[in-house]
Amino acid sequence: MLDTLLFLVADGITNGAVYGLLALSLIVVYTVTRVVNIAQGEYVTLGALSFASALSGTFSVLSAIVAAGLAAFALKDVADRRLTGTMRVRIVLSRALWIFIVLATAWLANLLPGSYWLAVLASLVAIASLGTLIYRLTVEPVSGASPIVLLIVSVGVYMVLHGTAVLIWGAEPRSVPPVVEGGVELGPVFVTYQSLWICASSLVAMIALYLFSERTLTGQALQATAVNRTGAQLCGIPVGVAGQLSFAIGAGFSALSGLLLAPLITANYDMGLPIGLKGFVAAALGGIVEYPTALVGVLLVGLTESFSAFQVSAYRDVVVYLMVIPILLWRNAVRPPETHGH
Amino acid sequence: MSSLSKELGSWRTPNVASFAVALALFAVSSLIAMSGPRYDVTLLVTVGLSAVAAMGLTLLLIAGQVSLGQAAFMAVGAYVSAILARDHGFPAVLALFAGVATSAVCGAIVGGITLRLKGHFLPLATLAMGMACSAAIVAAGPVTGGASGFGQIPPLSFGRFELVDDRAFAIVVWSIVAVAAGGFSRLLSTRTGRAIAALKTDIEMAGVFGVNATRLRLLVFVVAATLAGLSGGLYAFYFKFISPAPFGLTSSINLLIACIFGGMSHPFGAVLGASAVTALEMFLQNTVARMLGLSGNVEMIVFGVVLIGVLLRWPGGIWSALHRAWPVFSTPRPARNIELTPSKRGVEGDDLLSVRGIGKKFGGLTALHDVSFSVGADQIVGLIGPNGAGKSTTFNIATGLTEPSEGRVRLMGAPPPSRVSDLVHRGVSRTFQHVRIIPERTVLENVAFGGYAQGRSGMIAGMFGLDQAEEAATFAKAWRALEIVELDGLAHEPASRLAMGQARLVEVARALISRPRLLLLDEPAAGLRTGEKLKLVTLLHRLKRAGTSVLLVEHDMDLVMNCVDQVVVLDRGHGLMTGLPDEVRRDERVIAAYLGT
Repeated sequence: MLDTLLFLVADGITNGAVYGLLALSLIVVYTVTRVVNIAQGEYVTLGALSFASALSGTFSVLSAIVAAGLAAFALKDVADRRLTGTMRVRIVLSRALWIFIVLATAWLANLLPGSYWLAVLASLVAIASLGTLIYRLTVEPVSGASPIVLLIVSVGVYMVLHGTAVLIWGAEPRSVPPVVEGGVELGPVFVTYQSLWICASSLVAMIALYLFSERTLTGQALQATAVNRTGAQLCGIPVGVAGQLSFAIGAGFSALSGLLLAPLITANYDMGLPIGLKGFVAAALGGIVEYPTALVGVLLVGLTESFSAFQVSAYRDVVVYLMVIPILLWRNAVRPPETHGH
Repeated sequence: MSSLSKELGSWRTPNVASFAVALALFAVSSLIAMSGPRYDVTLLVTVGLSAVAAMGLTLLLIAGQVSLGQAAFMAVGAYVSAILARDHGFPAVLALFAGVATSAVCGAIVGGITLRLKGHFLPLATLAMGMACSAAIVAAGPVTGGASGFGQIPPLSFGRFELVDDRAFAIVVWSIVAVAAGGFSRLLSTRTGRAIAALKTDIEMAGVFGVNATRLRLLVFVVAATLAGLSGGLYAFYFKFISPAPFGLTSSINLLIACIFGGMSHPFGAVLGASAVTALEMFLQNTVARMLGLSGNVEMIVFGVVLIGVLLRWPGGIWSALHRAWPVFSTPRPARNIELTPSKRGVEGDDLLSVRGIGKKFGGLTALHDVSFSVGADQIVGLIGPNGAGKSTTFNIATGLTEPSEGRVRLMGAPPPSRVSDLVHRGVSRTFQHVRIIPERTVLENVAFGGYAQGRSGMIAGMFGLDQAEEAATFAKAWRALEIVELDGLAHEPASRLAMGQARLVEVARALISRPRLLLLDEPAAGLRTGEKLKLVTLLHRLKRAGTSVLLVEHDMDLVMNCVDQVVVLDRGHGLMTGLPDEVRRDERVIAAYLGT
């Protein structure tokens, strides 16, 4: 009995770690740009699939698309008449370096198939860059629009990414090897190395995000934008760059969760949405703006899920979802969210 | 010739246009229903049903609320109707009615719980609610058929008459669409419609003019739930088979897509959106896919691209692209001249407002201590003081927005009302330090909203035009108020185009139309040019002669000294002195407070 319980707890924590990355992605994107990003789960899919193809040594088409998009925006930016010569040179050089990194990682992964780290790097770089492209294409032009319009635009993005994933990789699921085969006996429970790896990576990623936003100037600027967009702009923070950065972090974190999870459930084009949804519930429990509360939510969702899978009772899902409402009411009474004039 | 076009022009009002469009909707859909191929009729019903639910959601959006769980109310309507009709032998119409009623009750319960949530918490709560509803339907398998659903739902019947014909069903559905669309479209430019728009702009402002915000928000939520329930119930009786799939999160999002794609500022946007989304899907499925031989994913990608493209080009949806053709709201200036004299409410002889020894502590900080003053009949009192002196706190305590820590306030001879929306019934009205007008409405409509408390007509009267006499009276008063502030030339301009000074005067006009005995002005001269300030002084004197008392919170010393009967000076939370303008001007403590010592 205790064995089962511990097993379920371990399973729940692993799930929670994955949803946690998703919840953080949603929170970073929402706080900085006010986009409730329905498409967030798609980055999970893209992360897992591009990781799978990089690992098997196929050159990822996605990296090529992303590089082309980056080049297009670089041309657009350089064409800005207000720029001086040196600024133009700087833009050209920095963008060229960026495009080079995207292509080089993809190419190296192609050259050395089976290299775990290269595949991780290639897919993370590609997907994080894709995040900035999506921001510039679909959010920047309407950044003043009401949040509900931004939400529906993100539904459009979901459709495009979802369809594209099927076009590139097809509907066949791909099995992905874990970082290390096997596992370890922790007391009475057998835990796979991949589970430990997932928890450790999530934890490192979360701590890195925390340090980034607390200890670096860029991170502080990001926080300032999240608190007050106009105020940040007046302080000279380039809000557009902050938006791109938040989308890059969001996409990168989601992709990471996807490639970590892929060995456990096989990478397929449909894996993103349910994970995104669970991440949503977890983030909602935290009121979508706070990291620590969201992590409690994440564990709650992960544990509830693993327990309900064991003891089949459909009403548990109802309970998980309904749990959100009293928590929101409580948070609303304690510290209501600022209401934004549109 | 010109008189003819003028004659025609006066018919170009939103009300006539609403009726015309509703009629056209009904005519076109009936034509398709009667003569189109059978497949088109099914499509027509589907579009009509989603339009009905989407219109409710649009109304919700117009009131400034978002629901991501609207399909749950469709599920309630569908399941309750279907189960009652199939398993419990209810006559179909009665079952449908029960389903819609249950959905409305669920709307009232969910709304009652969640509407106090602010900002993005409300959509999150409705999202959770919707997902819980889907899960509950699956879980309650023995009653609902679980994930696979159930069929054999009897047809919709009324007595011996059975609605089995698809074409007749389509006409019934689209009659509902036409009535609801035309009605809601008319509703927007009526008393309740203005209040709903005010809710979105600023709930507190809406309350000041007598809108019971909690009740109206709940009403809108219940109407939206009712329409969703009706849509769901009709769905069950049309397809005779239901499962949780068409009522899940995807459907809620699809409804929202229809609203935003079509345009969320107008009910016709919902109809446009529902039609456009289905038309686009059909086009992609039949034409693009068949001609180019492409897979379903390309359809999805193209749909996404179109959705993004349209919203980037027109963030207000298709409706905002067509909006130019829609007549601007206008009401002719009335021929007869009415007077806006203050109503004789309140206690005669007593002070209108008396404040005795009030204080306010925020935690350990004493914002206000021992302030006393009063505003008598036919008096203008100025409340002045440097920044941070406690003017706003005093103002909020006087109007009952803030509870004082100590002291006593009497407003019209009684303690301030506990609800802001009762203030206007006491004969008190106010303007705001930061202008709060409804940007998307005309100046005249904004002013007319000030008369909300004097009106009675509700949602039904507004939808079906039973409020014409009352509206005429309201707009006559609104014109008069605009004449008083000399802005009648801008009556039909959108309020968003006003300059700061003009917007402040519109706020004064909006306050005047409720015929207050006591008018509270919060820094009315901020942002006004010198000429406008002089006009304001003249206006205040005129109001006083007509019997309205004024409490004026203001920074501009000259303006205050030129028009008030008495000045109350606050400094660092204390009442420094109260006196005639000349005494205050000479007082050394006041000079010290303003110039520093």
